[in-house]
Amino acid sequence: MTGFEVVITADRTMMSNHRGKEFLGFMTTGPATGIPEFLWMWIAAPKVRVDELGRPVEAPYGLRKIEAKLLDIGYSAAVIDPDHVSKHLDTMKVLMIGHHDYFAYGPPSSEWWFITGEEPVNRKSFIRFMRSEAVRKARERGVKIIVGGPAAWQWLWEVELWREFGVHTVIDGEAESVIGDLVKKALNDEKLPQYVFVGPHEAPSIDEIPVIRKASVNGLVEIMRGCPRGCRFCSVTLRPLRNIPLERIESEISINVSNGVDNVILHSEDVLLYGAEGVKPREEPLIRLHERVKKLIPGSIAWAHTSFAATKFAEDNYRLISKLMNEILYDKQNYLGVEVGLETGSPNLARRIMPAKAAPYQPERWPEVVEDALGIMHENRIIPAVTLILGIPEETPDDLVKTMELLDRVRHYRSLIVPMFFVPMGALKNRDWFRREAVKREHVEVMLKTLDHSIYWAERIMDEFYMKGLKHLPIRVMLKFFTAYVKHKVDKWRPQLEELARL
Amino acid sequence: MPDSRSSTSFYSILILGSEDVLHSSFINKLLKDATAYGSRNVVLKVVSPRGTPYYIEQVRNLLLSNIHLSITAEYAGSYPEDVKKVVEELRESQGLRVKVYVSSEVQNRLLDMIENLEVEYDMVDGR
Repeated sequence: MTGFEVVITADRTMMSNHRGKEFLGFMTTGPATGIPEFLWMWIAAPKVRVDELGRPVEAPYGLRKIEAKLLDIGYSAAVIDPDHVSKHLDTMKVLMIGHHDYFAYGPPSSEWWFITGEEPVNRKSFIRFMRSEAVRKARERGVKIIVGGPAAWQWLWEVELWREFGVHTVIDGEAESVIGDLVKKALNDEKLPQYVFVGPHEAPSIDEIPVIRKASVNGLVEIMRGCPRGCRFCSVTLRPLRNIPLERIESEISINVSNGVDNVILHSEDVLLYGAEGVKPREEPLIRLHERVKKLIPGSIAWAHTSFAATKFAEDNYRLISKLMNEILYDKQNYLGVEVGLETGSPNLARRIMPAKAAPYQPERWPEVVEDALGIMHENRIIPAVTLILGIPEETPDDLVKTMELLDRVRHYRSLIVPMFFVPMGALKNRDWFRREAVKREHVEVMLKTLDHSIYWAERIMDEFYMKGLKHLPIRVMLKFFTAYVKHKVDKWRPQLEELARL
Repeated sequence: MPDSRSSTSFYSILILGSEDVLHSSFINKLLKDATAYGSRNVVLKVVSPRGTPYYIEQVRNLLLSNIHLSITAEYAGSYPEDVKKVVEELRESQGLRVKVYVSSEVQNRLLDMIENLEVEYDMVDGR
């Protein structure tokens, strides 16, 4: 084989294993700060190993799913590293591109952009790729360009770049049910629609979701799709909940391991809801999942996301967090990383925008649920990257005071807390963006509190848990330097920010 | 060539003027009409002098307000005669559910032509 008809790719900020550390990947959502951009990219998004055709050893999971679906249908398709797209110019008829945040409008990119006033590197890298010689030549040869992924909606705000880049179709939503027809039309040179939104009723069933054929970045595998909590700011929650059968999860992990990816990231909007009874975690499916995954991998397990409510319920009712960390995973790893949404410390706002986020507890108990769960995570060496949303529609200064009070109560718990500005998605996707002129004194105070919290804990996490060993020494030194630089900058800006907060 | 969703889709032909921007509330009308036709897949065929992909800015509010329907947006031309062409193309495939929506900016100029097409139509506020 010398080339593929359908080439699937992404820019470098996506096509990287981020040195095996997902948190490093978050650096690509900010502008290069304190160091040159090439060094920033070298730390956060180094190139991946490829074969002679430019196929990467590891690639983003979403691209792998599209590749598998097209191969299942019978197309000549492959994920190709962005530096090697030109190798397929003679055969390529369709170029498919995916991204989590094409234009840096999503969280946390939009926040870094807002704070620093500089374009984040993910946006710059993507635009650079679309203006590259390989993409330009593909366009000149009549290659059809189809883009998609979780950030597809951003194209609706970048119509000028849509035209400049010659994008034929934007697909928004779970693409498995429509991708075959679209690629067929593209290959037959038929007219393509400009925009396709896949509604919840067309979400693929378990049987329609393909098993990946090659390894995913850092061993990410999906264990569930959808979410039952119904938060109004989230798009995932609109889709039906599906548990992926263990056998399929095992197949994907085996593919990763056989390609040299030793670790696994279990992906779900809430890993602890795997096999749950509604929003109440069950012990048996979670124990079985972790035991079986542990047997398959030489490395460690991480969770993509979980919730404070499920963490508290699982520990209070079954001591499940202690069991998972101290009886099952204890000999594999000394910590487990996960992303968790706190969003607000205000029970009133929680009741309005995410009434089921605290379930099975009442929304009035949300701050207590968060505090208890962070305590459980701290005790059991689970390190959460916690997200807050600032500027949610209907938010009041009192809601922000409640968030500050909660931040004070959880300051002893090991975690990184990142505030993000409201981005219209989910049932709130027709609402206004959070704008610079809408920043209140309380927003500044919340941001300073989270910055102090995260800098304090980042240094300790790096010392005690993260990137141990000689091979990580250069990166550790740079990250230490970066943390010190941010601390220095924040201390320098603090008087002005505090002055702003007093106004 | 029709795809696997063609027979179950509701086809809405949107005729917009250059200054028209659909209000997000149009999604309620579209949802009601699609439901009445027994479909949750909507194909928007947009006729607009703005060209492609710029017409997307005119329907962006509509697209952003939708969470329930599957929506496919296709550019269908710049001129009134393109409306006739689209209607005729859709008629060639028997049994398709088709409705025309015409904006207030262009309705006076196009109403006679639309009525002659003998297709169901409705007015939309394009401001």
